[in-house]
Amino acid sequence: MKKLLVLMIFAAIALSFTPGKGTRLPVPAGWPAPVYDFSKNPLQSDKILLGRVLFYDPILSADSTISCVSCHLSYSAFTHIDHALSHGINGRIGTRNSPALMNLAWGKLYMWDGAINHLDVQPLAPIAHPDEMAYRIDSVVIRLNRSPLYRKLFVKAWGDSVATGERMLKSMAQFMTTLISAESKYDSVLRSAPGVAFTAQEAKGYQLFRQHCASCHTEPLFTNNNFANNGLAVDTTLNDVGRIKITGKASDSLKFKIPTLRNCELTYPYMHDGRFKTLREVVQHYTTGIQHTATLAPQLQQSVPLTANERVDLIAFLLTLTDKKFIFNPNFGFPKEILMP
Amino acid sequence: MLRRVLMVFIVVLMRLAAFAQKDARPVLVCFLPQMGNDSLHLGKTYPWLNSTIQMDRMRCYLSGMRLYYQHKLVYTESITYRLIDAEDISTLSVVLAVPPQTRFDSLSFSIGVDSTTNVSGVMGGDLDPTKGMYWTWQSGYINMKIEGKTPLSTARLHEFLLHIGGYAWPYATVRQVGLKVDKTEHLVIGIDVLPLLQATDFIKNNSIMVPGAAAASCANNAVAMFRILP
Repeated sequence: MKKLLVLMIFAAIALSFTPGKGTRLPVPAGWPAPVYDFSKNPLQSDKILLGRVLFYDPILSADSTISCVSCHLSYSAFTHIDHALSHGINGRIGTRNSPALMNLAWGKLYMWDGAINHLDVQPLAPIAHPDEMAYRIDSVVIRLNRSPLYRKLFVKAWGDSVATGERMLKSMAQFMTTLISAESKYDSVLRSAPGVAFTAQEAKGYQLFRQHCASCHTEPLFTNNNFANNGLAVDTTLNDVGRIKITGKASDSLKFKIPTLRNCELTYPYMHDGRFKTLREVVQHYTTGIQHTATLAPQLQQSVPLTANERVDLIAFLLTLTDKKFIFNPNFGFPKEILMP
Repeated sequence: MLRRVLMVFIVVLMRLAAFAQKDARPVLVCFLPQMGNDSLHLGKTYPWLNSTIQMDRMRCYLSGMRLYYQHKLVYTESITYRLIDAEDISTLSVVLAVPPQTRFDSLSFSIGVDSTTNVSGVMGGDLDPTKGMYWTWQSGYINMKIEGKTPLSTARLHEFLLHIGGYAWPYATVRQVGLKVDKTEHLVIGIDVLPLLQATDFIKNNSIMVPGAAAASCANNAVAMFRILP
């Protein structure tokens, strides 16, 4: 009896030290399996919370003014709304438009030119960029190790208070994989949710979309995660040649990552340099503005033929991709209880 | 030279103590940064060609240490990646827990991090990105950082900065090193920068910061840096 009691006490002590319970990524019905290898970084609620706190914390920047949220705000689908090129530390202006962050667990390569080959290591780029956070990952980790708040968060997430680059980045990746957007009106219609239906315009727009756009903006992610030259003229003030900068291959010249169109109502301005302020301008580009260069996407060799009404219908459909649940999800928002208790 | 070896030994004795109780025959491998036949001291000016040269930094990843006997693999260590840093003496000695009675006559390892690891996300320990050997603007490990100054370099401040990395074909920069050994307890491997410096063009290639042909060529030249010292 005594032995049993001792055993139970040991078990109670042991269980009290186990890190937060594992959780699984809620994969939307009918979606392909995520690409992210969770076996190397299994989801845990405490790690997700730590990652979320880091995402919102300007401690990542040299002068503690810039956080991830500075360019990736939840209310605008985690992008920097209304800015063609984002600004970072000291108001310095960068060279590209901030991509909207969602459904990242299905991505393969990140950034407009695919420079980043794994979600874990993506934060290294903005942290070190002189126009964004202008800092160093080793200095960030020193700050985290000095912070009583982060020591507590690391104990909860990782079992002890030591912050390392690996732990910090894995926690951020965990949070970022949870940013799933799959509950727009479009999704409800496709799931035959009761009381939800496309209007006549939206339905027509959906057909046009499938005919003219879906080969690159493939459902359900609304991107096939590849790179393409969609006929944008080179902006000679930026001379951004795209993916060729990373691969060195001539066939990658002027190719940029095909972004998701989910929540595009909220992610203006559009394209890698934010040159189009409205969806109308985007559609106009595809109907009359395509520039022909050697690496132009084969699907765009002919301009997309749309009448004036069809253009309106297409945009009506694109507006059905807005997911209010996603942008207002409290689990993705500012962790007030931790950062401003 | 003797002082340097003594300092390494002191660190190593501490590690050997850990192996005293284990059922293994510890094989001590020491790395000694060299400048030709001299011990390399960072920051010291050496005569070179008709000028001088100074090394400020020498770091590299070594991975997959293996021992062979008559071309057969007899031992693979469990720690796979080590960051060797000429500035940090604690990284310059390695103790291999080789099973007793194991004979070996050659040693091999890779300079750099393999391509699979380069695409597998963030790692810890010596591979942690806080070690300063991981590119931020583009994913991938920097396999070697060799930095210094020589009046023969036309770069700013007469520096040369060789950050050798890249894992994608055709410019992958991981290289294999194979060395014959005739001792079995204490191996001393010299990391001699001279062969690399002799092969470097200080006018055209004094700064290598990206993957590509220059980095691949430099990686080829780096293999000759490693040799067994008597």
